[in-house]
This record gives sequence, C-alpha cells and structure tokens, in this order.
Amino acid sequence: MTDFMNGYPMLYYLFLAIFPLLFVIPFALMAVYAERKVSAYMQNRIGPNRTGPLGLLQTTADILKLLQKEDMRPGHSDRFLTSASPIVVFLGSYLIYAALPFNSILTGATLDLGLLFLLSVSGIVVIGILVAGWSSDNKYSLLGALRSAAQIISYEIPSVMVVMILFVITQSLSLTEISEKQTANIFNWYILGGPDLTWKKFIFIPIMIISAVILFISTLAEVNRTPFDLPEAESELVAGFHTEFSGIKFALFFLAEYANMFAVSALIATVFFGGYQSPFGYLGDALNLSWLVPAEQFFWFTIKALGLVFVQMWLRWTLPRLRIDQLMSLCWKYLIPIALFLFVLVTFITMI
Amino acid sequence: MELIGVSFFTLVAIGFGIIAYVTAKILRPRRPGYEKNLSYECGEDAQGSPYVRLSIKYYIIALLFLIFGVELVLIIPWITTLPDKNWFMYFSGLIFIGLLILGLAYEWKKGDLDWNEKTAEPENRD
Repeated sequence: MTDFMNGYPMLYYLFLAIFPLLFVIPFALMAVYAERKVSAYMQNRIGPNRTGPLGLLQTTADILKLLQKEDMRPGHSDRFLTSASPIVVFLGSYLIYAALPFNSILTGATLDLGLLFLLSVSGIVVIGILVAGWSSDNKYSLLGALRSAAQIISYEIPSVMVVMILFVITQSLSLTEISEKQTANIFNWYILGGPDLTWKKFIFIPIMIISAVILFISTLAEVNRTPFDLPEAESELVAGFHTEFSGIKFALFFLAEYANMFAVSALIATVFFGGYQSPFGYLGDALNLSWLVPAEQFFWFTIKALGLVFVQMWLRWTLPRLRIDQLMSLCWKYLIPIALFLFVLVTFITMI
Repeated sequence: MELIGVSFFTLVAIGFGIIAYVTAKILRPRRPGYEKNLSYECGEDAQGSPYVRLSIKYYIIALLFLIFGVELVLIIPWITTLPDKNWFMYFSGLIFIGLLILGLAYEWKKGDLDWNEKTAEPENRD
C-alpha cells in the first residue's frame, strides 16, 4: 500500500476518494431494503419478497425505475438550482466520509482536525436543502426547507458541544488518533471513560454515557430521521423540500439521506465505541497474519456503525413524530444546557 | 496533502451526480405538459406566489446558531491550553462561557426559545 502510494500518489488519492462511493451505494441499497423489512416485521407484515430471492433486489429495481422516470419540475422553478441542489446535498454527506477511518490504513484524508471538518461539511447539507426548497417554486418545499435548516443548525450545537467534551478528554480532533487511543479492550472505549486509568475515568463514565445519548439524539435530528422528520411531515408539508423532485434527483436525495445515516452512526461509533478497534484482541495478531488485522478492523467498524443504523430504524417504528415546538425546546432547553453543563464540568475535572 | 484528498472527494461526489444525471437523461422520456409543469399543491391550482412570508423565529434561530458557532471558534484554542493547568487561562475562558450561558438564559426568559407564540388571552370573544 505504501509503495503504491509513493509511486502513484494521484491514483492513490483517487482510489481513496472512490472507495466510500463503492461502499455507500450497496449500503444504501441494502439499508432501504433492511428498513422495509425491519418495519414490516415490527408491524407483523412480511415486507418486500417478490423481486429476487427474499425481495433482495427490490431496491435495485426501485433505483432502475427512478432512473427511467421523467424529470418534472414546475414551470417557474430555477433549472440550474433544482439540478444542483441534490448534488450539493450528496456532496455534503459524501465529504463526511473523507474523515472517517474505516480501519488503521484506509482513511480518505487523515485530517488532524477530522472532527471539526466533519461537523463543518455536514453544514453543506443545509445549503443544499435551502437551495432545493427555494428554487422549486412550491410553498411546501420552501416551508419544509426552512424547517429542515432550522432543525439541522439547532441540533448542530449539542453535537458540537459533545465534540468539545471529547476534545477536552482526548486532546485530539483526529479521528484516527481517537480510534488508536481506544485500542486493546472494551474498557478503553470513551463511552467507558477512555484509556487513562485514574480516578477521573470513573467520573467520566456517566458523563460520557449522557454525552453519547445527546450526540445520538442530535445526529438523529440532523439527518432528519423519525422522530425528528418534521421537514418531511406528510400530513403537513407533503414531502418537505423534495416535493417537486422526481426521478434521479429524488434518488440522489434518498442516497444522501442513507449515506448520512451511516456517516453519523460511524461518527458515534468512532468517538464513543472504539472506532475500528476490536472489543477484544485481533485474530490476525494471534495467527501472526498482519494483513488480517485491517480486514478485521473494517469488519468491526462496519458492524458497530450498522448496529447504530439499526437503532435508528428501530426508533423510527417506535416513536411518534414530535411537534415543532417540542423539537425546538428539546434542543434549546434540554440538550444544549445539559451539554454546556457537562462541558464545564469536564473542563473542571481535567483542571484538577 | 490532506486537502488533495478532500478535493478528490469533492470531485468524485460531483462527478457521480453528473454521471447519474447523464444516465437518467439518456434513459428517461421527456413529454412535458401543462399540468405536469404546475407546482404541486394537493391537486389544486397554486394560489399566489410560493415565496410566502416566514416566521421571524427562523432568523432568531439562525442568529443563535451563529453565536454558538463563533463560541466554538474561540473555545477550541482554549481547550488546547487546559493540560497546562493554568488557572488564570481557565477562568478567563469560563467568564466567556458564563456570558454565553447568560445570553442563553436571557433568550429563554424573553421567550425566543418557545416556538409557539404565547398568544394573548382572547379578550373580545364574548
């Protein structure tokens, strides 16, 4: 890998940039299928079972259908902006993958400010959504886009606070470094206080558990999933900002949503649940096969992130949708004060 | 060097979108009609401009977000000084956070964090 990197650096970067795409598309196809199956079994139905074995090709068929759909847009909508906005939204969720360490050698770009980069590029999604709502000449789109933007920027603050709590404890914003610190066993994970074995670790445990819950809730709201899917509240706003999008543009929005779901789950898995580290040792180390270790790390990374994606799907079929005032008060009156308090507490504990 | 990687990511994401658009453009039919080009409004003809007037709440939320965003820029350098255990630096940072908390409390008391306006009691509804 290093020889290849030194020989053809541009090709190497291109490979690193294309790899997440090859991961995201099959993931989105399978996640849509899984979501439909999960919802079906939770509601005592069977779900898709006609297309392909066990209905596995259902999403592929959907995508092929969407590709052939006529592109309809209202006469007064802006042609360039309506075409650009799905790409901008997809760009925002795809850039998150640049900072995610899939294993110890495969990271899109080893950024020292990975966490900060990740939070800032997730803001690009807001621009895309606002442009989509504004340009598509529809009241529902505009209202949905504004709600979505208000929701995403509000919930960005608690996640930033949690990231700062982590930064105080880890003194590092690089996701690879944070993952490396949580090596060896499950007690080094930051959800259990991190690798430092002092009395502080035991105070950090409850703080970190609360922080993890805050981060989970706020990222759930950032990706517009139920119970925070107000921008797409069918009973109020038809389909929110993508009411007027059909065919491939709608498919891109959908792909971006699922890409985002995995990205935020991977973020939580990285900062709290050990990232790509195995909860116990590696088989590759035991058998003395050095190539097996990265493969195992990739396996653990995806398993942890997919577990959190499953929790997101599970919540979708468990909780009813919030009202807009409940949504805003949950963010500004509960999550932000709690996160601020924890932040001050953590800084004080580190100072002692 | 990392920025080269990030720019490749940008290129791949935009390129993927363009490739998908071109593929769809080749495959899909194009038969526009009067009714297809109308804005969707639950089957009715659209009334008035789509650019409706918006609640002022959205601007307040955006302003609050900006305040907290600037706060992040100032606090991250402060965090890097914490391992020095310099209590003077620590308390100067705390004053800043205290001001921030005061601001949040003020917004809360003023009622800007309540999405629903506290509507006055209906008086002239006998």
